[in-house]
Formats: sequence, structure tokens, C-alpha cells
Amino acid sequence: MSKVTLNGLTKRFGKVEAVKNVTLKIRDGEFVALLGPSGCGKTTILRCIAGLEKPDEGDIYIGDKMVTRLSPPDRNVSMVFQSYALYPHMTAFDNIAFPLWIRKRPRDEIREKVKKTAEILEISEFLNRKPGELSGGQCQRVALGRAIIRNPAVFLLDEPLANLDAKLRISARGELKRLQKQLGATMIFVTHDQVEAMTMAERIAVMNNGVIEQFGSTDEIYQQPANMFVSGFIGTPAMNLIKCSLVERGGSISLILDTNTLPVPDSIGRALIEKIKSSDMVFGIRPEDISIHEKNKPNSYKTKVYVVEPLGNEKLVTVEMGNTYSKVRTRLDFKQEIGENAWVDFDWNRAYFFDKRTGKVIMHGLNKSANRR
Amino acid sequence: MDRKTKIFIFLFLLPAVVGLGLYAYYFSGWNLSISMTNARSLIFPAEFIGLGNYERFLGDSVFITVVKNTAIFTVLFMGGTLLLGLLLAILIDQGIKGEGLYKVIILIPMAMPMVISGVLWSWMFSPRMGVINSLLRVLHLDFLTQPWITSTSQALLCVIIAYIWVFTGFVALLYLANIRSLPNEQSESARVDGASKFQLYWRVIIPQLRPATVMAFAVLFLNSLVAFDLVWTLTMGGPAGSSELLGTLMYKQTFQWNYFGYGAAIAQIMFIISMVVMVPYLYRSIRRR
Amino acid sequence: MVIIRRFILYFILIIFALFMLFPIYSMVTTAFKTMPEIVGSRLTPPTQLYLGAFKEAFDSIGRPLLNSVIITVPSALIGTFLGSITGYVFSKFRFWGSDALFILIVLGMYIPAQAVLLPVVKFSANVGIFNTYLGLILPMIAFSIPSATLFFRNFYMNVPTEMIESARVDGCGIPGIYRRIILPLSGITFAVSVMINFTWIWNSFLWGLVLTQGPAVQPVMVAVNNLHGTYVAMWNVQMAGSLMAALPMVVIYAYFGKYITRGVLAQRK
Ligand SMILES: Nc1ncnc2c1ncn2[C@@H]1O[C@H](COP(=O)(O)OP(=O)(O)OP(=O)(O)O)[C@@H](O)[C@H]1O
Ligand SMILES: [Mg+2]
Repeated sequence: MSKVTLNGLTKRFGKVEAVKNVTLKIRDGEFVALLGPSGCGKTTILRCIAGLEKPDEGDIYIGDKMVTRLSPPDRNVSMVFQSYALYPHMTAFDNIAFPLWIRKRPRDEIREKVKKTAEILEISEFLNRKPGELSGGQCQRVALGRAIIRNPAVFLLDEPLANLDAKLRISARGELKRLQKQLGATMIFVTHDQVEAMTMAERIAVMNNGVIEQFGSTDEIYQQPANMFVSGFIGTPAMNLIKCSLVERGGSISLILDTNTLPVPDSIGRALIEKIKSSDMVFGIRPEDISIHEKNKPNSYKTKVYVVEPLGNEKLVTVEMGNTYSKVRTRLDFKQEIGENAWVDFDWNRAYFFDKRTGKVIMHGLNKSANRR
Repeated sequence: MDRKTKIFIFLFLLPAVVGLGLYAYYFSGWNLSISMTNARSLIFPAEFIGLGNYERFLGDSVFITVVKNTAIFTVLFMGGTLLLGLLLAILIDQGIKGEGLYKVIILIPMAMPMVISGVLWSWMFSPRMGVINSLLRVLHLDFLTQPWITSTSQALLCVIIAYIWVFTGFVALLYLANIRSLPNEQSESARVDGASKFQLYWRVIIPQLRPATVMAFAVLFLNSLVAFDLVWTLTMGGPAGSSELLGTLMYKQTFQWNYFGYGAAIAQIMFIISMVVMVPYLYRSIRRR
Repeated sequence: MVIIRRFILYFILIIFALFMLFPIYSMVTTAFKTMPEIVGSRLTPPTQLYLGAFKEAFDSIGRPLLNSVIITVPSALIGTFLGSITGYVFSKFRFWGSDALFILIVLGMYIPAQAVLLPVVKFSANVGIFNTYLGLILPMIAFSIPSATLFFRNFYMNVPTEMIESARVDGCGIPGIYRRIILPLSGITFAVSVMINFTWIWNSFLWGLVLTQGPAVQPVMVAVNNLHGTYVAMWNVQMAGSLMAALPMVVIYAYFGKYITRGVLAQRK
């Protein structure tokens, strides 16, 4: 097992800059997710680490060894492709044995190792079948088997669960996480599903447009998003982001959304004023940090119910305040219907404020001086 | 790409590049240079005469004959084969019993070596003993018997019929594959709209058979341009040059009468025609992928 | 109405079938007849199985048949193999000039044999392979490569690139990937390509005509043509010879017809 370091990695495809000056230090034995929307360059980074693409700038280290110029077979990495890329003419056994087989390992050793690998992955019964005769989940495990049998320095997995059906995907998350712990392996996996990243990874690198927006533990990413992109990408549903401006009138501080005024608790308002340069900002609050009431309450704010989505154990209510819409998570017994009034108040200790122009976080309620960068 | 990969790519391409570089490109270049000489022997040096052979060919009385024959041959052979093939494909598409066997049957002529097709049709078209005239006599249609390949007015027609025989089944299968690749919903929707069978084919299906037509055109054109084997065994270009085509003329000039330069010039003309027609076709078919 | 339509449909189809089969029928029946029998009737089937014509034809084309086997089998195999590795490179690697090189190679398919015939004869005579097996095998291999390359490239384009990259990461080099992944996946395609090449090489006539002299190396199509010229009125001998020379093709088409048409539909020499 090894640590992996990317140092100023840049990869261009013609005019497209798929990866821009990415620096990333992954620790030995760590389970890291590369998370981001489609086309943001996740796969490209993985392929650069594997040696399938040659970076235009920057270096890649596996362990302490620079591998930037090595060809894939010489890097001691395993890769599981999104399509699994199993060899259709070989049985599951031969597929798993393939990496050892081409290294001309003795037959007994191969048989032994395939047996052990198959036991770990619980696919011993299927070893004689060909990929065409295996289900999606079984194929995925054969592909994993082919990756782990070599005991490589790093595992690279490109959307390893994307081809599974919804139910299987959830159980596979747990299994993959357990497997990673069991092997103590350095694993880097790509996903565009933030739930998958949150549930499996120790640390997440959130990517957008070829750059890493934030790299941190799941808690950090969730509690202390570095910018609007990360906060909008993490959480289901994502954080409400509301354009507003901050005003101080007669000693009390408020947010102005369109024509509506929203008073802000003094402690937070004061801290904010110290940090801002312009009064225009973006106010962020997660759906679970808004409470909603059927009747007016002191300090709450009048809105209109736009739509109500029952989710079984709770309800997701979208409310209309002026021209902005916000999602609110609430109890199942919330009774107001579309078009009726509702009153909301915010947990100001969990509110976020972003610079409108740069998107960077100015501060958030939890930690009033949380300007990480 | 790393060095090892580059080396293997080089090695993998080497045989093809050397083989074709020599046999296709170097030799066709050599042929071009021979075509500009008055060479009459493999050994003795020849004189450079520029485009002399080409000029001679254009002024040669046989030139008119060959152009006329080639035009008739190309038009009738290609037109006949495309039409018959399309008709046959549509008929098979109606859903017939034993379709698999039928497809094998119509492809047999294509499987026959051209030389043997030539021998077969010279047996068919032989005027006295030949099968066709015998058949006509048995049917008491004596007045329809023909001199066939021995007649200057019919020899080329015999070649055309034999060529149509060879390629019709193949073209039919090309068209059939194209028809079958069209989505079923089209004909169903046309039926719902109340189109007759004829309208269905004429308005909906045939306009979509361009891919098969282009492919068939390419194959038939190339085969008519280089036609030799079958013509040689059937008529040898005769009688009296009445079925002479570029291929037979080139062979006679070069290998029978040793006018190497002149023969090479004719071959060069075939080369140019082939490139002019096939390069756009190839470019298109590769680009499409 | 429907019945009449069907009747007309089958009637026309049968006419077509007769047109296709009649010359073949005539070849087979005539080959087994004696000359007097042929003079008696050209259309009826033979009354006995007379094998004299086959014997006589075999005396002339026996050796050429063997020559054709010796020339065709290695040419078809090697041509297919070379087409396969060339097609592999063009399907999975892009490099400077790869498109142009690919077009130049495939274009070889459309160079009329006539346009290189005379130089090939000169060259073969110069290097001493005129009238040898090698002298015929080499051009047959060379001119098998273009269509085989196109054929295999189109097939390999559909082999997922991820599979090849996966093998790469697992530790395979370029030749290893070809041998262990690409080649095993090519089974039917390889067989079809061999058969297509076998067909055109076996059937080719002009090359043998100009590159050989006398029966020692002469391929069978040239021998059949000679038979046609020497046994002018002996139709049974001509037909028996033709039948024997065409037999390998008939066998191949019976077994591989389905695949070959599919392949041939893509390109035809
Ligand atoms: N081989 C290539 N040639 C040209 N452009 C490419 C190539 N591979 C990737 N790109 C471009 O680089 C950018 C990043 O692609 P990449 O495949 O890394 O995205 P991704 O994050 O993996 O997306 P997805 O979630 O859709 O798989 C995209 O804009 C893509 O179009
Ligand atoms: Mg991707």
C-alpha cells in the first residue's frame, strides 16, 4: 500500500483543459472519493494515475516514487472500469487470474490466490462461468477480484457501482467499504453520486470544471463547505442558496431578499459586517435547518407553500418567499397545502454566507470565524 | 505513448507497409514509367516517349470500339444487375418458405470462380452444341436460336448476361439486408396509413436503399472496370474485337504482342479511372464510422 | 386474390432460381456423360455415372489443383494474420499520419491488378521468383492485406477500449493484448477473413496466367482455362474439370456462406 501524490497535474485534450493544476495528497491506506458533476475531469485524473493518459504538466507519485513517465504495467496499480471490462472469452476464474497469469506466476500459486480472492468476494460458485452468464453484481465482484488479486499499491475505481441496480448499489457500498478496510488498501474511486461518496469515503475531493474545489473529510465537506459549489453539490436536497444583501438599519441587522426583510440575530450580524466588503452576498441554509409552522410565531417569516412532497417518513416542502424558492424538511404531520401560508424560521447557527462574486464562504454560524481559505 | 508501444506499432505495421508499398505503390509507379516508354521486351532498354502511348491509344481504331463496348457493358451490366437484384430482394422480403435455402441458391453464381463461369456460359452459348440453342430446339422454337458468342453483334451481350448471372444474387442480398435493417415501424405505420404494397416500396422503402445501392455500385463498377477472367474464357474479346474491353486489350497488347509500353498505358488508364471513382467512395465509407 | 399474388410471387422466384441453377445443373450433368450421350441430348440427366471425363480432366488439372492448394492456403492465412494485426493497430491507436496510412493501405484494394502486373513480372524475373510458388504467394498476401485490414479494423472498433486498457493496467504489453485478448475474440471473424481470402486467391486467374509457365506451378484456374482451349469440343472433360476446380468454393460457401455474405457485404474484391 502506498500514498499517492498529484503535484500540479494538468491535462488538456486539444483546447479542452480537462484537469487544471490539481494538487492532491492521498494518505497511505486511505479511501478517497473523487466527486463531481459529469465531465469535470474525474475519470481523466484516474486515467492519469493509471498511466493511460500522459499529463501535460505536473507529476504523479505513488509512494515516494515518481511514476509520471512510467507505462501502466510498471506502476503497480489496479483499475476497475465502469463497464468492468471483463474479458468475455474467459471464465470468471481466468479473468481474476489474468494479472498473475501474464506475470507468469506458478500455476499452484495462481489457483490458491484466485480461491482466496473468490472467498473474500463470495463468488466461489461462479468461477467457471463466463461474464455473459453473470449478473451485474457478480461481474462487478469479478472485476474487483481481478483488481485485488495482485495486491497493488493503489486501487483505482471508476464509478464502480454505477452499473448496478438501485438496491444492489446500496448493499455494494457497504461491502466495498468493508473490503477496503479488510485490505487496508489505498483506494481512489470516482463517483458523481454525493451520497455514495459520503457513505463510503474517508475523504472526498469535490471537483468542478477540472479543479478541486475542496478536499476534506466527509464532515468537513458537509459542515464546512469551502464555497457555494460544494455546498450546492452536497446533501439531498442541496443547501438553499438565496441571493440577498445585508443592511443595518436603526441598530438592527437584516437580510434583504427582493423586497422582503429578514432580521438577523445580532451576534451573527455583527460578525458578518466585520468580514464583508460588499453588502451583496448569498445566504445558504440547509433544508433541515429551517423549521416551518402552520401559524405565525415570533421571529418567523411568512411564506407561501409552493409544493409539498411527502417522502414517507418526512415531508419536503418548497416555500415561496418573494421570488425565491426554498426547500424545507419537516415532519409528516405538517398540514398546509399548496397555496396556503406557512411561517419559517432559520437555525442561524447553521446558516452560511457566501461572497456573491467569488462564491467563497464568508462565514457560517457554527464557527463564526470559519474562513478556511 | 511509450517507446515500447511505438516499437510494437511499427513492427505490426511493417509487413503491410512493405508489402503494399512494394506490390501496390512501387509497382504502380513503375508501371507509370513503363507506360511512357516504347518498351517491347523485358530485357532491352526502352526509349522515353512521354505520353506517346496514350496518344496512340486515343487515336487507335480499337479505342472507339473499347470505349463503346465498355459503355454498353457497364451500363447494361450494372443497370440490369441493380434492377434485377432489387426486384429479387423485394420478392424475398415478402416472406417466403425456405428463405435460407433460397439465399444460398442465388449466391452460388457468386461463389463460382469467374473462369469457370466463363467456361459454363461458353457451353450455354455455344451455337451448335450449346445448351441454350438445344433447349430452344427442344421447345420447337428453332427460329429463336442464335449464333451467340460467334456473332459480332451478340458476343458482348453474352458477356453481359453472364455477368448479370454472377452478381444478381449478391446484389439482391445487399438490398435485402438494407431493407431488413429499416425499422419495422415504418412499414407498419405506412400500412396503417393505408398504403398499398407498391406504394410502400416505392415511397417508403426504396428511397432508403441508398447505402446498399452505393455499395453495390462500387462493387459492380470495380468489377466491370477490371473485367477479364470471364470475358477471356467466354469470348477472348472477340469475335473481331466485338467484346473487347480494357482488361482483355491490355492483356493482349502486353502479354501476347509484347507492346509493354502500350499495355502499361492502358493499365494506367484503368488505374486512374479506378482511383477517381473509388477514392471518394472509400473516403465516404471510412468517414461515416 | 392473395393466392394469385402468392402464386405469381413463387413463380417469379422459381424463374430466378432456375436462371441461377441451370448452368450449374448443366455443368454437373454434362460432366458425367459420354460424348455420344451429350450429342444425343444436352438437357437430360446422364443415364449412367461415367467417370472417364473426370479422369481425363484430372490428368491435366491434378497437379495444378495441388499447386492452387499450396499457393492459396498459406497466402490466405498469412494475409489474414497481417490484416488482423494491421487492423488492430488502426482500430486502437492514433498517431501522426495514422489516418492517411490507413487510407493508403485500404486503397490497395482498388488498384486494378492490371496496373501492377507487368512490373510484378519484371520484378519476379529479376529476383528469380518468376514461375515459383513464392512468386505468386507474395502478391496474393500483399493484396489480401487491404480488405482484411478494413474488415478487422471495423470489427476491433467494437471491442471496448476499456477492456484493452484494463489489460494494459494489469500488465500486458501490446503483443500480449493482441495474443490474449484481441485474437481470442476474433474467432469467427478470423475464419471468415481466411475464407474470403481463400476464395479470391483460389479464384484468381490473371496472376497465375502471367506469373507461371507450364503445369509445375500453374494454379488450377489457368489449367481450367487451358482445358477449355484444348478440349474444345469435349464438353464433358471441360465440365468435369470445372466441377473439380469449383468444388472447394462450393464446400466453403455451404459451410460459411452465411458469414461470408455478411463479410462480403462489407467489401468484395
Ligand atoms: N479522450 C478525450 N478526448 C477529448 N476530450 C476528452 C477525452 N477524455 C475526456 N475528455 C474531456 O475532458 C473532460 C473531462 O472528462 P472526464 O471523462 O474526465 O469526465 P468525468 O468527470 O469522468 O465525467 P463522467 O462523470 O461523465 O464520467 C470532458 O470535458 C471530456 O469531454
Ligand atoms: Mg468518467
